[in-house]
Amino acid sequence: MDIRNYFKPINSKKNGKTSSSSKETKKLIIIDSDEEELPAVSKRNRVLDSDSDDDIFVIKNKKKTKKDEKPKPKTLPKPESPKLKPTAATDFFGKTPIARRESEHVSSKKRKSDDFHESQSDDAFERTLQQLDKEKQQVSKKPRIERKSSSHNEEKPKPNEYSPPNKTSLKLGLCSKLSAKLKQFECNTDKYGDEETAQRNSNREEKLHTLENKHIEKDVKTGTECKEIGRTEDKAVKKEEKFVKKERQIEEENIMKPEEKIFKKERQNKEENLIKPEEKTFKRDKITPKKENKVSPKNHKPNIIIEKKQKEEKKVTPKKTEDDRESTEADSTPQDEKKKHARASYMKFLQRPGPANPGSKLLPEGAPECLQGLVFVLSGVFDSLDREEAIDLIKKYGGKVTTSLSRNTTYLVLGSEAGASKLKKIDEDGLLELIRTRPGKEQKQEVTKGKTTNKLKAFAREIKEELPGKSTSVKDSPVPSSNITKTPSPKKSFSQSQSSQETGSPSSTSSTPKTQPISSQDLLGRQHETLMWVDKYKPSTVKNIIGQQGDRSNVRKLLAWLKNWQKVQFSPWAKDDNGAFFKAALLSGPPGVGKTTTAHLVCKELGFDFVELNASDARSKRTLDEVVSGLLSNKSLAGFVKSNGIRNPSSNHALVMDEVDGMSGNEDRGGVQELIALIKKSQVPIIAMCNDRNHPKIRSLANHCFDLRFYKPRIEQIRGPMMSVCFREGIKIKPDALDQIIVGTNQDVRQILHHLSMWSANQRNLEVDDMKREAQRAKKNLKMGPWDVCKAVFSESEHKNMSIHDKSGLFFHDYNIGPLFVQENYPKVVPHVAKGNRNITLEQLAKTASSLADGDLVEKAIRSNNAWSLLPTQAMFSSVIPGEYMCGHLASQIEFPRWLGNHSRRNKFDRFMQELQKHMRLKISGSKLDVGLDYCGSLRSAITNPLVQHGGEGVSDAVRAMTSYDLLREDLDALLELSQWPGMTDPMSKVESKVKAAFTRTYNKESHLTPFAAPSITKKKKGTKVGGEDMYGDEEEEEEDEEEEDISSSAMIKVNKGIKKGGEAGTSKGKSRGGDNGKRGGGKGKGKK
Amino acid sequence: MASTDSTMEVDLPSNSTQPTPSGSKAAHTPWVEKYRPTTFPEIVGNDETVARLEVFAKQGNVPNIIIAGPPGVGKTTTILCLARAILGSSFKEAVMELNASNDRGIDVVRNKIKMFAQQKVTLPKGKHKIIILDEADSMTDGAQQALRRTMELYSNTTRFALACNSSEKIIEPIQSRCAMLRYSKLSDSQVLSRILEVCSKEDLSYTEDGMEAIVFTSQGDMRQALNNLQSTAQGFGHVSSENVFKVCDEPHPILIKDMILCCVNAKFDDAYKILAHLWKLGYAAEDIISNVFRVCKNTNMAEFLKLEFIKEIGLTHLRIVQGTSSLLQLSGLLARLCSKSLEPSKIPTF
Repeated sequence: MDIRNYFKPINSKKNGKTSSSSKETKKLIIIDSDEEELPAVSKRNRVLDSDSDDDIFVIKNKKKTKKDEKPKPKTLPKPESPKLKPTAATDFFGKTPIARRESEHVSSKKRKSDDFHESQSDDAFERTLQQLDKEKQQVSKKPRIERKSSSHNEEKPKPNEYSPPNKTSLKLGLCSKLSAKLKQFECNTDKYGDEETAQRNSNREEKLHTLENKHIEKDVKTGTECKEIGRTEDKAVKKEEKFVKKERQIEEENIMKPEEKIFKKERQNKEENLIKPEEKTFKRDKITPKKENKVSPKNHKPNIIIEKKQKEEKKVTPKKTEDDRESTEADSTPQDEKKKHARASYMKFLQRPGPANPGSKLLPEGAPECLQGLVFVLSGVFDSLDREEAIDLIKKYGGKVTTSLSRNTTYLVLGSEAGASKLKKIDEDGLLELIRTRPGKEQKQEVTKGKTTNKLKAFAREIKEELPGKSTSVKDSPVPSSNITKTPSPKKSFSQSQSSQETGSPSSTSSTPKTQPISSQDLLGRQHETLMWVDKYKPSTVKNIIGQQGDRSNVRKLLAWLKNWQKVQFSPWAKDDNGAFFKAALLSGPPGVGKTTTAHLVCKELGFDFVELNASDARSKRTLDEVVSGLLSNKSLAGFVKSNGIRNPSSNHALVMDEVDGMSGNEDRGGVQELIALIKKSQVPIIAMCNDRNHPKIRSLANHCFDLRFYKPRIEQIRGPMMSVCFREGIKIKPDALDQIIVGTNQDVRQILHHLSMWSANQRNLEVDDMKREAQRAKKNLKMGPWDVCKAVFSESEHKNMSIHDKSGLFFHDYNIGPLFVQENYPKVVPHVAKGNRNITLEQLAKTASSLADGDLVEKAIRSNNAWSLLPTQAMFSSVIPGEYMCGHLASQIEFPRWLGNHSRRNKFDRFMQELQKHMRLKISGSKLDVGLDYCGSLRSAITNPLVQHGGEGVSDAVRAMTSYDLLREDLDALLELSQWPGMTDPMSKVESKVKAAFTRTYNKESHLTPFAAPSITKKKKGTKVGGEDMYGDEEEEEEDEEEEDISSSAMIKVNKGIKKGGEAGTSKGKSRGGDNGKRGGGKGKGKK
Repeated sequence: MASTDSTMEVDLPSNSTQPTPSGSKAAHTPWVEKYRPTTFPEIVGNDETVARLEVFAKQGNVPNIIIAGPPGVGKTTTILCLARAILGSSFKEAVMELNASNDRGIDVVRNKIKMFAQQKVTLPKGKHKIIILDEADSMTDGAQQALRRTMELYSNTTRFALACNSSEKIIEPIQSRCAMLRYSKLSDSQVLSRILEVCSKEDLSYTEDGMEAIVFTSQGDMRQALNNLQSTAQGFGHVSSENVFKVCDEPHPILIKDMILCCVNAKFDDAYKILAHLWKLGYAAEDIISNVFRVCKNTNMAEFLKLEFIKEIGLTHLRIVQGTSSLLQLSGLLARLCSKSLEPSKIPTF
């Protein structure tokens, strides 16, 4: 095969990857293309020249290339490979780095440990280092692989490869061959030291100087650090020995490269922040550059230029590595198509055939659970097995099948036409063989394999690999000892959430918080026979709450909030996300996610005594007031009694208001308002809980609360603890079956426990199928909202498994509003019958509309005659038949029926017309309808036209028009609204606000003789409301009333009283206040407008 | 119809908790009560669930449960059996049964139920008081809300058993606090075996088709089957299909199905013969039409045709409800149905 082949896919991939791998994509791409076509040396030179600074470097580079190329002809038999080599930036270096390395290697090792601590943050840098290393290595290795094709003669090329770094290997006298190899990589990096420094500089220029300084200091210290080095070296040796094994294994498979492994290992270690032996090797890598950092600035002033170059170089490297990897992958999978674009392979994927020879192979009988703990990924098309069959097969033997590769993947089962890059693969036969041969539940420690996976995966993540095919290898990490204390090995899959750890590493996986398995909880105090499982396995500390372990989880937030409650309460403007501003917290979320538990445990954790009020307590305004406020000012004596003086008896209280949405009915009237008032004046923190955060009642409460929303935990989060429970209860359940239960309950932890306890009652071994069936049956039957109903009515996918009864059942979810929703939204549906044909769509729409019309008729009959026996008929007409005609999908959002709004508006207008007609009755002859249809428009123009045309002068005309029809100021507003049709401009908008005000004032100033009494009554009400200074109010009324002579009797009585009162006070007073009154009225009018 | 109805009404509230179904004594009790199972093995149908509950009955510590299912499949019976099996002699003190006939408003939940939950009843270890809420779907939301926390707080002394027909009327938080058990309708053979048992105990004379008719009319509802059996037995002394249908007086679904099938095949004459027969038997137009509607929904025919049929039937139903309950309407319906099936492609939208 031509090496060039390997580059094709690379280029295509580069584009995708560059964006993720580096910031400066442009440069990258250019360089890449350069690499392929131009001799690297010349390119370098060019770059250097352009930089114009340092001649020395150019020279050095040249020298270096010469040097490098000399040994290469031996290692790389093919003429093309040298081409690759130079691109790898080898040309970059003069001898100097090598020489330096010789002198300082020991010290560099010493520094490792120190560096480690310092440079943990340098991940990015390290990564690039790795890539550089790898690149180098791969370049040298690839030819090897090619040449070999049968991997046994590994030894031959080695000497060649290693020849340059021999010096280093000498220095590490203890190390085996492989360690030498490792070191060689280091050497390579050393060679690239300049680059690396540059990268580093570019990455973190600010840090650089300080770091350098440190390094120098460290060099000085070397003596003292000697011991450490010794130790670390020992470990390193061991590791490397392992490595040898691993490498061989892998090389046999022609898949993986040792470098990758190393990197992965290192990378992972880093992630876990653990000091692992492998890291040392890495550290060495790291250190050398640093040293050079130190040195290089001294030696060469033009550091910056180098940096620039290195940047470019760096950018090249990631791609390179991928390229190389790909090429090797291509090696491993002989078919040509694997090298094609992702697109091509996707096309292939789409046209994938079924199994070629279904049933041709005999399925083996394996030991039960023989695949326990292994994670498989299936890829491609198999010879005899259907994909589903294969999955079933694996599951039957306890294996787990995932759709995508992850760090837990153990095997990749590869068929033909699989995706591209696979690392450890087995084919179909291999799978069957595996089942046949693999022992039962025995625990296997494939340490080396495990490592490779981890490394690989880390690597994959590192370069953000997005290849369609994924890397896999064998991994079977032993059960993490620290995490699952009492879980037996067969339950490995349940440890899935815990990050896989390598054997022998003193890791404690602290990076991501995990659900502490229930098994490790203290359950001693709970009497097992008498408790429901839910109580038995109730979390006892905050850490055990499922789905609430993250740092940003609600539990933490609540904890922090409660902790700081006293402190922060008095700095009220901190309205940030820690909720310090609020005096109460509101936990909301679906049932069974642990809201109440959270509240209780948080209180417990912080030593709060809490008083709980829930829906089973009456919580009306009065009781809340009495009970709670009394309680909250109390001090708890529990501290005196319970603990032996350790706890402060006057410790804090909290009020836990559970189920605030359950405040309903007569008894709890005003409860929420009272709660809000309570929150405002509360001296203790209040934790409220509810299910429906959007309930109108809760919404007003939520404004006063620190809003913490709980969401359903994910299936994986639930699975682990539940498996633990099952184990403790002696139930055998497959994770798959458990998943069924979890899904069936809608991720409701509490109900899962109930179900488990119920279903496991008579059989301890729960099968997948049974559970599936049971979960299906036990599925929560939730009431659907009208939106969901409407969606279900029209969507084709839902229709598939619905009988006509189910469909009519949809109608009965809410038969009052359901039909309205259907009617509002049916035009938005795209019927699939029509297939886009407009005519057919119209036809369907017409049919639907006629059916809806029939439905309306039926509804009329139902409502007017109480003929409820027709309800099923209405269900057919209003829901089922439209759904059937318009079966398809909704093209836009489901809208709330406008009918309701329109209906109430219609009623309002009707009222307006009634009112107007009543007021004008003496002046006009028309009926209510006439008022609406005929009078409205002209009346309006009679009033508004003077105002619009003459402004201030028109006011009197307008007022006269109104008075002549006995209209009140309010009537004008009604009139305007009534005569306003969509698309019309409001004539009052043309009137200046000054004129409007003048108009209102004039109108109010004048007295109007109306033939009706209504307005004075309303005014009276307002007057009495103003009420405290009753004399004023009364007198105002009095004045008006004196002038309005024909007033209905009821109004008169009140008025008369007023008159008597006012009469004594004297009329002069009243009159002088006339102006006052007018002004006030003007104000009012303005306010309304 | 009327007679069966009344017996059904009676049996619900009067759940005699005394497990004494001895033959002679209970001569005047409805058979539904007389033959109500008192132990788990006697319960017909839903074997798996019952078996599980049986285990709990032995070992105690049953979780809160909701049993949901159609009427007459043994929900209440199961719960009573469970309570009896768990509590035995202390059944009286330790069980509180509330059904829809009791007041179960929010205040009852807050007071009566809570008080009972708080009560101390000396029970052997692993046994708990049981609160049975029959027909829990008729409880108001508020009452259910008030129940939530009570269920949890007193779970170490009290367990809840809820029975309901439609579980969606139970609020989600309550569902979350319970293990959900769904009962399905009994199969015909299950009903039949039980009825035969009763027949032999009651010394009834019956015919094969009489049994079939009873099973058919019961539609998987054991209570209905027993009630029908008793009515037939007391009315006629002999259980034959004729007698059964005389008691359970509704237009025979099979006749109606035949009629609809005739319409599907556009055989108007045959269809009309059946209709005339039904009419002659004296059924009201509304009874006939509502049965036609129901049967049509269940009949196997082309989907679009079924919709058209249902449309027509619906409109006719509307007219009948509005007062024109004449044979003419029904025959008109038949004619229209026939015409629909004659030219299914050209369906006029009316």
